Amino acid sequence: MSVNLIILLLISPLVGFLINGLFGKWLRNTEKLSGWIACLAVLVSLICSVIVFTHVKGGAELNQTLYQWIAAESHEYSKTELGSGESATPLFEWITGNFAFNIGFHVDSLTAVMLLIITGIGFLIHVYSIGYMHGDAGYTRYFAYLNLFVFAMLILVLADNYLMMFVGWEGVGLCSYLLIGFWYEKKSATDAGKKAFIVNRIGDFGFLLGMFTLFAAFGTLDFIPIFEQAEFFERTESTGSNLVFGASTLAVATLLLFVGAVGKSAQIPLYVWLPDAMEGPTPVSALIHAATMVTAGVYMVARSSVLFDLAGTGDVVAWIGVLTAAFAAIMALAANDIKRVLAYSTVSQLGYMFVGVGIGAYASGIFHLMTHAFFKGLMFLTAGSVMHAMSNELDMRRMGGLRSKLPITHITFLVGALAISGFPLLSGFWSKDEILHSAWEKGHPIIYVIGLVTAFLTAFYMFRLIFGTFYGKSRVDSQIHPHESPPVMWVPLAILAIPSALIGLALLSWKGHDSAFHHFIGGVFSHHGEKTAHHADNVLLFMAISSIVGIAGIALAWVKYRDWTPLAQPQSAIHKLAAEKFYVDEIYNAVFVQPIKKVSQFVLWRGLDVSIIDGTVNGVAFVVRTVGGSLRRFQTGVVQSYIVSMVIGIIIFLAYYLFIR
Amino acid sequence: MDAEPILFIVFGALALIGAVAVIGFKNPVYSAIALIGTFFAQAGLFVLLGAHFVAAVQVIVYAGAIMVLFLFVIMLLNLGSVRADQPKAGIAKGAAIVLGIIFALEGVYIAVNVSKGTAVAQVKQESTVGGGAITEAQLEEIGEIEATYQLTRDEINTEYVPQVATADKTLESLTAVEAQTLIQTIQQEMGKTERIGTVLFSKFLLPFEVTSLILLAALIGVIALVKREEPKEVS
Amino acid sequence: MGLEWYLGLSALLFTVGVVGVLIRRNAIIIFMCIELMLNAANLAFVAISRELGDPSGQVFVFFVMTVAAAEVAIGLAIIVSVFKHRETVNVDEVDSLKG
Repeated sequence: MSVNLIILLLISPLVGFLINGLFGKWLRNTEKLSGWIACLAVLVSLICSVIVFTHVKGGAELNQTLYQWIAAESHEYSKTELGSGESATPLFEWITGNFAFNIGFHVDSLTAVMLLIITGIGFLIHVYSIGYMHGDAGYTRYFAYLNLFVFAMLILVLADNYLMMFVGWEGVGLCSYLLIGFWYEKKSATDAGKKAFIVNRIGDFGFLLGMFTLFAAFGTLDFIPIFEQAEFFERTESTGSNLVFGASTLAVATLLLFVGAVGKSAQIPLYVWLPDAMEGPTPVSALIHAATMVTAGVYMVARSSVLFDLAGTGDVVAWIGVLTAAFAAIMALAANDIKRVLAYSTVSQLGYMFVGVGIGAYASGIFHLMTHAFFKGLMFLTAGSVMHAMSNELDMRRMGGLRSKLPITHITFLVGALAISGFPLLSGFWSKDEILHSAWEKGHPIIYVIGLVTAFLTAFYMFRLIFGTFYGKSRVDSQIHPHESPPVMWVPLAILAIPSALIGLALLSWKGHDSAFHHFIGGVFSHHGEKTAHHADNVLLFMAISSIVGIAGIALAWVKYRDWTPLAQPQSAIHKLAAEKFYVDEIYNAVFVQPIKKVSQFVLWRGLDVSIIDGTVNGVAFVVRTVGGSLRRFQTGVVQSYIVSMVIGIIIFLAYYLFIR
Repeated sequence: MDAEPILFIVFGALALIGAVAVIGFKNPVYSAIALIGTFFAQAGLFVLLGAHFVAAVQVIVYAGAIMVLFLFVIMLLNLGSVRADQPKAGIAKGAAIVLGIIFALEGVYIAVNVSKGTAVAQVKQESTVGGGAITEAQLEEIGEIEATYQLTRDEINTEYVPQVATADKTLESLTAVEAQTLIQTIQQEMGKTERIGTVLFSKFLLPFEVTSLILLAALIGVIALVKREEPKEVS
Repeated sequence: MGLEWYLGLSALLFTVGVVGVLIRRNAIIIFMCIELMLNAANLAFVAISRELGDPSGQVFVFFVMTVAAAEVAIGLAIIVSVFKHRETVNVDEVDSLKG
């Protein structure tokens, strides 16, 4: 594996973006070409990713602690016990002097997995988009943004330092904003885009502060030096006594970084942007707001596992995660818009991932990230297929009985729903169960219980969605004639359905928790909080509990929604509360937005802008005008009056030089 | 008795009277003629100062060309009558005269003091000191004179040294007093047209050429100013 | 006769010119007074030139005269065109520059 491979992997979507972005005007007439260029760009990346993966996997199978470093361009910190795989050296130095930031790649098993997710699902979604976006006026623009997104996301996961990661972090945020507001003629879309951007800004601010803190403490932003130094200080027991670096510093830094993750990955309290982000095209929701970008926070926490472990801030992460999971699941119960249900579900599942990385089961968190990327991406795409069939209808109260009209969509959606509900042997079952199991094992019983309840709710709302959409009597408007999507759309669905169902089985072996995936990826993470002894004997018990909970949720949904007649108004108070999203938006509006507006209006605008800034400008103008007004009387236009002044001046100067000096 | 003080008083009085007459007459034609008188008197003063060339130019250019132009314009515009010029109000006039008196006092004060403690007086004082053989400073000054007027040492030896000493002497064998006389003799001749011409076309060649450009610009400007404008075609 | 006499005379002539500029309203006479001032300066130049034994002063006078000639030509041309437009050479009535 060479650097050139990584560069090709990275540059290919950028080239696609440039072609579509710069020459889209000429490509517009040949719509298909534009889409296929974008797909080709991602396909190249996908192939590279596979090659990278095999390289990394090859190293892992040999089960050696010796890694393939590029000798000629060896990184200064190359010999490390952290990180399996490979770290290429900096391409060039950004800023020279006392500190240097490098553009460099860090490729290990975690990166390889992320690369596969991004390019693999990204490629399928690109293909799907060709059909979905057919005939849209902004076709080339759409693919340009999508390629740019893939590029930014690749930077994010390939970065070998926080600064470069932040570049990707902001890049995906930008693309998210652009794609949420893709149909910018719609006010709701642009509003949602702005909301996403602003809420993310809060998180990004935290991320920036976190970076500053890390830099102040370590003098670098490169992953490996930071992790090495942190572990060194840990080993030498100098934490706390050192002024520059202490456990509290690390705690502050990690919590600030986690604020960034909360914003990007839509956790409490910054989750509000994600449901609104469904204004964007559905494939965008699938790619950005389910599979990849929103998981960046999880990835970042996993990448910084050493720091989180040393700082002991994982509990915060886990609690935020589990609360978000439960809270979002409750809101999903009351939502009727299928994309919103999926959005809340995404928030909820992201919460699970944070539980995983928070309690120290990093591999489990990433595993759930991967399975979730498959099944949630799949479900969003099927939702898009339903929308496509239903002329952009999203409210499941006006659906029902679509099973016969959309057989492929139905089957694939069912696979996804079963997977997320934790149906035994499907992918979500494994990954979710693992997280819950780890939570119990690592001594977080409350988290385990909440997680279990959430799992039940997940199964329930998912099958409410299934029954509401595909079963029961048809409530479809008689003017709409649902039809199955073209092959370019359903083929990616079918392809995605396979890993959604089976990836769990494929990656797990029956050796307790020491699964193949863990084995592959585990070396990347910190092992501080990990308990060495696994109680393999109770694994089956936990699996059984999870299965029962999931199936119970499905069963309850079947009982309640098998033949659903939706009511116009929510019946109970809690239902109403959930349907209104617990008034969180309104509360934020009242607590944050309105005061800021008031402050802006009365302090910044009326106070600062009008009275001070405008006042200064107008004051200067006033003084000049007044002085000028009085001075103009001297300008009589009569030359001789000027000469008089001149003569007086000459006399005074002469007198000064002759008699005074 | 030296005629210079008498002539100075005569010419100076004439110049002053003429100048006052210029601003005193109501009729601009009279003023112009009085100004011509002042210019002539000043030409006389220039002669007194040994500036023969400047005196000639003063008469030709000022009293001749410029004043003819003035008179021509006065006649052209038919300004000979009084109507164009009512005198100023008394207060303005009085204030102007008071300013003028202060100004004149300051000017005279400068004139008196300049000859006392200023650089001019110092230069003069140094140059009058002498005794014994010719000094280094005098030789240096003569060298400067040679450079300024483009004279050779031979010319000085043959033309000027005999005027101040016996013919067999050369510059180097002059006494300091004789050398001083020599220098003064040459300096008194600097008003001669030949000397001025030499300086003008060597040291001041570039300003001279620039001046010609100024005249050209003035020429063009005047033509542009007084040209009768063609009535524009209204389309 | 010492330098101070010539300089004093020059100062008096200059002052007369200044006063003339201040009290007369006829543009042509104001012009003549400007010529007077220039001449006064010329006198000072020549006097100091003689005092210093330096011909530069006389050369300056030559330049002053040249510039004065140019100035008179243009000034009179301006007066002529002002007269053409306004039928007056009274500087009090020409106050287009009034602020």
